[in-house]
This record gives sequence, C-alpha cells and structure tokens, in this order.
Amino acid sequence: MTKPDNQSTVLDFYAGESDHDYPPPDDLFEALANSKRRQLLLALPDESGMHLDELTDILVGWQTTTDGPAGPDEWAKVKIELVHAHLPLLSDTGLLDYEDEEITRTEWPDPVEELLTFAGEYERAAVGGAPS
Amino acid sequence: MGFGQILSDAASQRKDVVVYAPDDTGNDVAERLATRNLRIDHRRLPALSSDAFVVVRKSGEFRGALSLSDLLEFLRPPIHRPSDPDAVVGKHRVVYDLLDDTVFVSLDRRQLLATSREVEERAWRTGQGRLHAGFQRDEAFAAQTGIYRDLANTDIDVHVYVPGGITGDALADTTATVHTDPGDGLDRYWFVLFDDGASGAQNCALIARETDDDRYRGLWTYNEDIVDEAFAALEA
Repeated sequence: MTKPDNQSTVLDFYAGESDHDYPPPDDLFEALANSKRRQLLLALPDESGMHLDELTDILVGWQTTTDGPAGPDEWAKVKIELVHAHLPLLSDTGLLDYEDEEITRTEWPDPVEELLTFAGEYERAAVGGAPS
Repeated sequence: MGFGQILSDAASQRKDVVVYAPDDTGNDVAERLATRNLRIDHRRLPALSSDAFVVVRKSGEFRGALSLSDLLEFLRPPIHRPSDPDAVVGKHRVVYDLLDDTVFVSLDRRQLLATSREVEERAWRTGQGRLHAGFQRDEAFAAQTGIYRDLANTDIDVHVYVPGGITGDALADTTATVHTDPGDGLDRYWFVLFDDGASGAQNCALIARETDDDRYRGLWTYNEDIVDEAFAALEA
C-alpha cells in the first residue's frame, strides 16, 4: 500500500493514484454504503467516460422502475445530489475522475471490481429479486 | 392555419427517446409508438435491475423518464372509460406530459378515447373556460352523452360538432351549443380542445385525423400557442 498520509504532497497523491492505489477500506466502504453511488459506479462504462447529464438520466431512470415516472424537477434534484455529494466523495476515494462534467472510471484494483460486482448481484437478489 | 397545418408543424419538432435496458427488451418500442418525430435510440445497461426504462429529451433538455413497463401499459390503455369525470388518470398523466406535441401516425380509437378523457377531465377539474369537441358521427357522440351533459352543466362553454346533428335532446336543457355542419373537412377529425379561460395553464387539446379504418394520425398538446391555433382553426 502506498496510500498518501497526512504529510504527503498533492504530487505524491497523484503519483499514488496513477499506480491504481487501493482506497483505504473505510473510504471504500463508505463510498459503497449508498445505493446511488453503487448504481453510479456500475453505470460507468469500462473504457470511456460518461457525461454528467447521461449519468443523471440513468440514475433517474433506474429510480423510475421502482418509484414511477419522473420529471425535470426530480432530474435536477438527482443532478445536484451527484455534483455536490456523490461525485466529490467518489473522486476523493479515487474510484473515478470527474472533470468538466465528464466522469471516467479509474482503473480499479481487482478486489474493488469484485466487490462492486458482488454489490450489484446482492442488490438484485435483495431488492430486485422478488417477483413483481 | 387549419388542423392539418398544426399536425405538420408539430411533426417537424423532434424528440429523442432513449431506451435503456440490460438486454434487447424494448427494441420494438419504436413500432409500438408509431410516431414520426421521435428519434428512438437503445443503450445497454449493466443488469443492476432487470427493468428497462425510457428517457425522453426535447431539444436536448430532459423532459422525463419512466419505466418501460409503464410506457407499454400506457400504449395499451384500458378500453373501459370510467363515467365519473373525477376518476384519476394517475401516472398516465406523466406520459401525456412526456409525449405531448408528438405526432403519432397510428393511434387507435381506444388511445384517442383515453386521451380525450384526459382533456375532458382537465376541463372538469377547471370548471370554467371553453371546451370544443368534434365527433365524426352521431354514434360517437351518443357514447359520450353523459360526460358532455355533466360538462355542460358547469360554467364551461361547451360546443360539440357532430355532422348531421345529434339524435335526441341530450343537451337540450343545457347551455351547450351543437354545431351540425362543421364543414371544411372537419368531419375527418376527432378533436377535443380546452381553453381554461384564465392563465392558460390548463389548456390542452387533442387533434387527430382518420387515415384509414379506425387508425388516426394525431397529437395531443399542452402548448398554449398550439391550443390557440386550434381554436382559431375552428373559428376560421
């Protein structure tokens, strides 16, 4: 582990990140302790970035499958939530890069990838698994 | 501007519909919607949820989203038309908002009935303004007599257009006006126009033209300008 400690400089931080550092466990689990953030991470394509507006479309859309139709007010609310809460947190955790409304997955270490996959499967089993 | 021009103008406005699904679900949505000015795109999502959903954008702006199952349910509205005008249309209202100003090329009678119902219900809840409805045949009006009697007993100025007039005196003791000679090709149209007589926030209209047996090309709208144009077309 080469995680930056409190003494590290900004340069050290970025250097660490480019080595696909392991996020500190508490940070990682905090990041995953929210259904919007798990959905967001799962929605991001492996290879390319995604624009904030499309990501918002997808999160609002997923919501409609359980909560019913959503209009522009709901959309704006989700976008604000992304910009002010979820994206900064996930970016600080090192799970994504967020710049100019373009969101890109960082390269996740295998355990993180597996954890996300498991979280998605668990979610489907626990929430979406019941026949409706 | 006549009804025909209103339909052509609306058909030139484009909306984008994106269907997100973990699989091929919803690939037939374009066919089901049967409309000209929707551009329909499919994107695949990871299977976080097995439910597909649909996002509608107009001129690049988000207009709304709904699950594919809600959309498909809307496209097969119930044939049963409740006689109580206070009955709630519920989530279908959101779909009406999403797909307004969209020219559908192959609406069937029950979709038109459901949409007429939406316009009439708005009028009923508003309780004032003017409501003009065109029926192609006396039998079509006869099936709606109860609703139009109720509407004509409010402060709404109700006008019905029925080629050849209506049988019986269903509206005789109301303030409704019956136009028996619509003229100018109006008898090819199924229309219901409502102007709330105040802010215009409740204005809405359905305009549909019969193309062949029981199929219609038409739109519904909440756009005040289009509703104004539709009233002007009637008065022309």
